[in-house]
Amino acid sequence: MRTTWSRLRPRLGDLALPAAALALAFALKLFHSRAGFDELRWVLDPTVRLVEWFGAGPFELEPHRAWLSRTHFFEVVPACAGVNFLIAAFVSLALGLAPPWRGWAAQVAFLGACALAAYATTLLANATRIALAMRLHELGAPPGPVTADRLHAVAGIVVYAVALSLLVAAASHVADGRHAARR
Amino acid sequence: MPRAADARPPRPAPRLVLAWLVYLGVTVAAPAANGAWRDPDFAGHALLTAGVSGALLLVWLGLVRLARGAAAAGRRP
Repeated sequence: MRTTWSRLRPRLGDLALPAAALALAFALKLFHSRAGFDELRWVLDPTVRLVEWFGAGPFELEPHRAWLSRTHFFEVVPACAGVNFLIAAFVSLALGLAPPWRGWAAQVAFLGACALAAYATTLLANATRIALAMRLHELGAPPGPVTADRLHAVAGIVVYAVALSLLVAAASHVADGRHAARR
Repeated sequence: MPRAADARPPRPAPRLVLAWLVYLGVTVAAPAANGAWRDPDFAGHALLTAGVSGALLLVWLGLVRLARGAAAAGRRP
C-alpha cells in the first residue's frame, strides 16, 4: 500500500501543479470580472507610478474611479489594469516550465516565483503600453483608414506579445540552465 | 549512457507557442465564451489580436531559429 502511494504521489504532484495554476488563473479572472477601481489598485497604482517614471505624468487620483492625467487628457481606468496579461503570463510560466515533482514546498515556491515574475512583467509591459498609448493619443488620429482606437489596440497587442515572448524566453533560459546544472 | 534527447538543449518553441495559445485563450476565447461574440466589434478584435500576435510569434520563432543556426555553425570545426 505504501509502495503504491509512494509511486502515485509524484504523479499526483505533477498533475497538482498545472491544476493549481489553472485554478488560481480562473479565480483571478473571476475576481477581475467583478472588480472595480479600488479592488485593482494593487496593480493600477504601481503601473501609474511607472508611467510617471517613464516621463508621461503626472497623474491625479480620482477617488474610486481612475488615475487622471490632466496635462494629457488621459485616464487609467480598471480596464487598463492588464490583469488578462498577468493571467496569461502566470499560466504560460506555470504550465510551460513546470518542474518534475520535488515535494509540495518546491511546487508552491515555483508557483510563487511564477506569480512574482508575471506580476513584475505585467507592471513593466502595462506601463510601457500606457505610456505609448498616451504618446499616440497626443499625436491624434493618423491619416488613412487606420483609426486611433485600432492603432491603440495594435500597439497594446505588440507590447504584450513582445513582453510575453521575452518573459518566456528569459524564464526558459533560467529554468534550462538550472536543469542542466542539476544533471 | 546519456540519451540523445538529454544531450540536446530543450527547444523554446513549444513554450512560446503555449504562451501564445494561453494569451489567445485569455484575451479572445474566454470573453467569447462569456458572450462577447455577440458584440459586432468582437470579430475585429479577435482577428486583430490573433493576427498581430501570431505574426510576431512567427517572427520571433524565425529569429530563434536563425540564432540557433548561427550558434551551431560557430561550434562546427
